Amino acid sequence: MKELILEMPTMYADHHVLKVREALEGLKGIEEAYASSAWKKLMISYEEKSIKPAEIEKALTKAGYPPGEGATPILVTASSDLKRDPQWEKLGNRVTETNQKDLEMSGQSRR
Amino acid sequence: MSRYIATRAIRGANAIVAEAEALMQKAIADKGADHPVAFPNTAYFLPVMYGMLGAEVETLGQMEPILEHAKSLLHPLPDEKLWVPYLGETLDSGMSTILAAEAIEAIRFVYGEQPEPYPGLELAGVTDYSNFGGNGATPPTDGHLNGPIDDIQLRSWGIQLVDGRMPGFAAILGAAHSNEAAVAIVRELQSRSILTFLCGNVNGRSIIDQLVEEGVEMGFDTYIIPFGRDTLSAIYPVGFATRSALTFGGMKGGQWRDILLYNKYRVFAFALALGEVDDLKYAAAAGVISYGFPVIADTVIPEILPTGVTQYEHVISMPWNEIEGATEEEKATKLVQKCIEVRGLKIKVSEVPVPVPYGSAFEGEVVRKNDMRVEFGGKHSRAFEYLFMEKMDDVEDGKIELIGPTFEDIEDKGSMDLCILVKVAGRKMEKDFEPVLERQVHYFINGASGIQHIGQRDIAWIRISTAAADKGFNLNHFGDILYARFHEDFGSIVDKVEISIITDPDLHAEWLEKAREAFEERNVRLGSMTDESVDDFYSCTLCQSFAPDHVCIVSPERLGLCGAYNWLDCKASFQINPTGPNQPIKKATEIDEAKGYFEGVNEFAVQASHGVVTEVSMYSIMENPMTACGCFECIAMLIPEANGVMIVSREDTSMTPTGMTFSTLAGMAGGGLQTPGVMGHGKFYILSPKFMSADGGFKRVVWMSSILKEQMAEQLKAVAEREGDPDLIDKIADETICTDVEGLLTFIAEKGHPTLEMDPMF
Repeated sequence: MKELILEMPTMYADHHVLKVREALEGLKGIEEAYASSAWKKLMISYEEKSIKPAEIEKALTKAGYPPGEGATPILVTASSDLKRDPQWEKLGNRVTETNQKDLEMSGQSRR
Repeated sequence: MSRYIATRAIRGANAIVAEAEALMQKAIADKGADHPVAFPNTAYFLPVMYGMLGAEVETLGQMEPILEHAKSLLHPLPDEKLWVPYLGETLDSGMSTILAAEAIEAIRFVYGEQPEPYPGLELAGVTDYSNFGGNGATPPTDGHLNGPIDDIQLRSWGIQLVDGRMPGFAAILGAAHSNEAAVAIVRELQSRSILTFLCGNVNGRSIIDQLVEEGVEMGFDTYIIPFGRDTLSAIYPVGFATRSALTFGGMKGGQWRDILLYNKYRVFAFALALGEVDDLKYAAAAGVISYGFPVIADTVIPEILPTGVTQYEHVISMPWNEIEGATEEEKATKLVQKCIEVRGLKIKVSEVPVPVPYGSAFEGEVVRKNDMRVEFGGKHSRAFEYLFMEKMDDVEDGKIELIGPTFEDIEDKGSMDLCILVKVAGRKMEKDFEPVLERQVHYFINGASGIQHIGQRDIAWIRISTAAADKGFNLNHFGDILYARFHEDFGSIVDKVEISIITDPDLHAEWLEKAREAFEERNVRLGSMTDESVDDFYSCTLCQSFAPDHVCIVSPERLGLCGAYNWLDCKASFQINPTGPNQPIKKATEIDEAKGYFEGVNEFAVQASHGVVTEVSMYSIMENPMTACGCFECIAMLIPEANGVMIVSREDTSMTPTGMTFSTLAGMAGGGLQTPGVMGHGKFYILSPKFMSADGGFKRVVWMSSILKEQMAEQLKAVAEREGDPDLIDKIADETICTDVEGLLTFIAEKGHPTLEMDPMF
């Protein structure tokens, strides 16, 4: 029995875990797999006589999850010069204050 | 504020918005921008998009600006060196996450991937997908998870959410430490009657799988709703919360601030993350925090302890291994207690001395024949329950006796006759309260896990499961339950309770005869009660915790629109709690007898609706009709072309002649607003002589959901005879006959419906 640990940068949520496990289910020789979306890692125990790591990686790539490749998409990046969050330019300043409605509603919660 | 949480939530939000956009572009390429999107049998379009942005999204193409908006709420990842406050960025990211998740789930419906297939799963109460095909998707045929909760269920839970029977809801994401822990957590929530929503997985294993493996019954009836095996399906609880504000709070799309505050103060919900937490779970958690819902995790994660957006702490970590407790059950109790404490839920737990778990969440539990030890009533035996008042000295408080054999000698899955006799006495007890209290027997007994109670009076049908019998549940426990609950819930009118469980054949027959005589007397008494025969009507403001300006006026001939409270119920409720939601309203001067205007009613309506409603007509739909909260069983609506009204049941999901389904109509009828020509009401109000009596009464009904015709066939026949037209029901169309005005007009003309010759309604 051999163990294989793969980095899975695009497996950032549990719906990806279901897809990754589905891809592994069709492969012979996989004894056990732990797919962690929290750590973006896939830990596999496999029978080396039945399957090779390359075949596992190929199956994962075919399912849309190439090990070690890609990254979690970041649509908004900080401005490199000022290290400022550019979104605040769009969203504008927001001021937090106690709203009268908060006060009114807080007194009327469930009887 | 935790930089770690902010980083992961912002990263998760960026990723899921990108994923949603890619999926939307693919769907538009595959199906076209005009392809419809919808959640089946729900109003308010895609509810989060509608509630937060006021966007009425009905096609794939209309999602584009929504995702653009979601993008505008994204932020870059926090800098590793410069630490600044991140709460605003995190909350923005949470909102963009739930908008993206809603888009993805809606697109999954387009591809037939929702509701999520789960072969072989049978749910006890589930969203009806039979009429769903509007976006080209095929309705599921095999087992599946629930998907979004339909409007019928949302509204029928409304009354339980407001009267405290259902104190709030828990959204559980992930998988528990073990199957035993999963069952223990869910049972703990059930015993507190907390609605439990299930989503997500850890390593492909969901709490849903764990509960299926352990044979836990899930579905609307048991308060455990499996939405989906990934975090994206957590959008359904968020949508449920948004729809609660729109349905019961009378809020409109786009009132995002009011909707979030409504949830913070009125919808008592929290999220429980079981197992490891990934980027999307952090991002989704940030989304629910905006709603005021805290998140509790059973793993080691950073915490957000200051209050503000939620009332108490925002994120709490309570690692399962560190919870003190010898068993999984003890740990589950402590975890759930912590959740309740963090959300500030107010829980009323009934202490009932029975060997099985007890709580409202078990009320809808079904005991199937294979799981049954013994049954009483049904096809093979007779069961009845009879409650009556006696003089103080004739009732021995706390006496519970079994007269006759127990079920030990009955073969497995066999049946036997049963009588549950309840004698009560109390200084404030009145004869009229007997049926009100007797009806509670159903709810009280049903609260025991493994016991099923259906029907009432002499058509009761009770089953005890093998599991309950194995735990030692016996017939005397029916008495223990009733004794405890009558004292707890009706202690102010009931001073003494004595219960006899009778299985002895001779005594059973003797009491059955006495009970039937009493039932007949009660029928006559209730039938003779009219609005004219009493001085007081009763208010019901129970729903004001959800619909702040709504007030129900309950009279002997008009029950509450939820169908749960009639005039006698309200009268008893006032005796129990003199400062509660049911207050007597002196009718005072009758301003207009025909339309049902009373000075006292108007004065009360002004005060209780905070000035929103100034006049209420008790008997007209056209002039100042009574407002509705959102819990109504039916909606009556004018069809001007037919000079009549249609009545749609909330159980009817089909199209109506107005071109709107019940869900869409409900948006016009609810929220505490008076809309002439539209009225929410209880289904038994249809049978009342006072039903729209100012506008021509029952003869105005030209269309009615077929389910009402079926459920009330005998009573409607009697109403038709009362109205002097025995064939009237056959002249009323339903959805199987027509769902458009042209078809309706042709039908009523062919049948010679009386409304065609009546005066114009307006």
